[in-house]
Amino acid sequence: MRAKLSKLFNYYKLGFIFDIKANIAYPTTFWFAAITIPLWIFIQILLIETIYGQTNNFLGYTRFENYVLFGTFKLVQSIASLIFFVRLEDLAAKVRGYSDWSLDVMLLKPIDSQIFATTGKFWFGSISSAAAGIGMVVYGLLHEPHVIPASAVLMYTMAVLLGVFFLYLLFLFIQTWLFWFEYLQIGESLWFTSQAFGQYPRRLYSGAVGILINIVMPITLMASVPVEFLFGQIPFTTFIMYTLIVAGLFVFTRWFWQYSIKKYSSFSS
Amino acid sequence: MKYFRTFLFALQTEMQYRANLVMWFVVGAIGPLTMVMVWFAILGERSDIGGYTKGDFVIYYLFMTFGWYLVGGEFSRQIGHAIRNGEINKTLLKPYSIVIGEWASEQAWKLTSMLVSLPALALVLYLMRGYIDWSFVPGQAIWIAMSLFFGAIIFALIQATIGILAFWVTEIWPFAEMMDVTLHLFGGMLAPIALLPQAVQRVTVWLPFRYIFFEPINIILGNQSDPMSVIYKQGIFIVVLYLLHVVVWKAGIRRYEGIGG
Repeated sequence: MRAKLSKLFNYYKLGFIFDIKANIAYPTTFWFAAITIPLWIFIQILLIETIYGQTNNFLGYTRFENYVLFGTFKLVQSIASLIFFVRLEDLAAKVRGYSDWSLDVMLLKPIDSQIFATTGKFWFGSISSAAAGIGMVVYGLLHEPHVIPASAVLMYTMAVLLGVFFLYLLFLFIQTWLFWFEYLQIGESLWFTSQAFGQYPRRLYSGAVGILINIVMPITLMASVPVEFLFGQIPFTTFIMYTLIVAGLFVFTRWFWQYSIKKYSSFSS
Repeated sequence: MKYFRTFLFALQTEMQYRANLVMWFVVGAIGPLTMVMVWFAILGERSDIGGYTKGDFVIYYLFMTFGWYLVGGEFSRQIGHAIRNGEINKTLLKPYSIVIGEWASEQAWKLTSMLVSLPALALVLYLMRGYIDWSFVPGQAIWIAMSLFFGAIIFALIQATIGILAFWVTEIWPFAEMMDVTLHLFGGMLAPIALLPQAVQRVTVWLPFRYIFFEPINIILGNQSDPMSVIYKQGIFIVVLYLLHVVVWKAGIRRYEGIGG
């Protein structure tokens, strides 16, 4: 077990170092991404200002609490993109056999296919976006101070990590369909677009939609849930509930991956 | 005729990948759908915000989804790709514009997507019928059609100009990304411009982006008392953007070095 973990650590370490070197060698894409992606922050700030130009309280959130909410959303989105985006986005090309090396190579290595095919490369272009998200959180908290105990910060951090992992599972689930419809072109766009549901308070969704977005596919883990932990609005038991839901989704997506990969037909070797 | 053939060829390709069309509609609808939910939550018991009722918000964001197939698109990346990969070489010696060709090709995707989205559009209109209080004035039809057509030309000219920046840069996507951000900020894609902060509203008047989606939908909603002035301003922006496009294209062609063909 220890040897396996050590191998895994080395795999991620090497991937991290390699990607840093690649960014240093070919910095243009990195700088383009680092400059343009955070521009979406302006959209979110404008949306906040537009909403609070019409109301003082949006689903229980004040203006500056909403900055914390949007900042958290951006943070979770950026971390998930940093760790999981490259490999999962590239999966389409690998399944179709026109990437630099096909999925065949990945399946033949002495490493779990899901780990190798879906993780291990890093997208540093989203670092600036994560920094902007942290900036929004800090800005919101400075303008409307809350008494936040250390336990709330811990819960917030754990919920953020849970949100990041959930986003991985969501992208994995979407991309696994490539084994069934190899010319599905929608994966990346669907993943990013569906995140729009995650940037608003949980209370926005009610009825069947609420059950789907808050519980079955808890995309509100991206912002609303962590922020409610930070402000002490929900108890620890809720965290256990979300952990169990995400664990269930992990088991399901893992099963779906392993079942679907049997459908893969090699183009060449 | 040659561009029509390009369109037909692209149409055949689209029909091969029909499953994507449905999913693209889902992707396109998520953003506007969440925005409708947001505005419904803000409205609460109020009848309207800045003159926009619940029904107006539904129509507004419905148009943002459906109208994208009429007015919007994204062919700048294809033009950039053709320039970067040298595919443009074979068109330079022929009476064929790669820009118009890529535009024509994109119409196939837009047409098929629009047809696929029609049932969804009808369903949304049916489900929201209790909120929608919109009466079609036949006299407005000509203004609606003209503003949509001119809006589509403005959009296409901006896309084309972004695409040919590939003569200078290898990556087009940051510029396409900026175009998206700008359309959200100044084009009314995020929210009706009349509800945005005053400073933003003032800036939008001097930029072409509000004339792509926002002004046509203003005419559709009956919020524009002088549609002629919109058409007039759209015309000015079309002339300015066309001249800009020609200048950038000529400058790009002068510095381009094609290898092979």
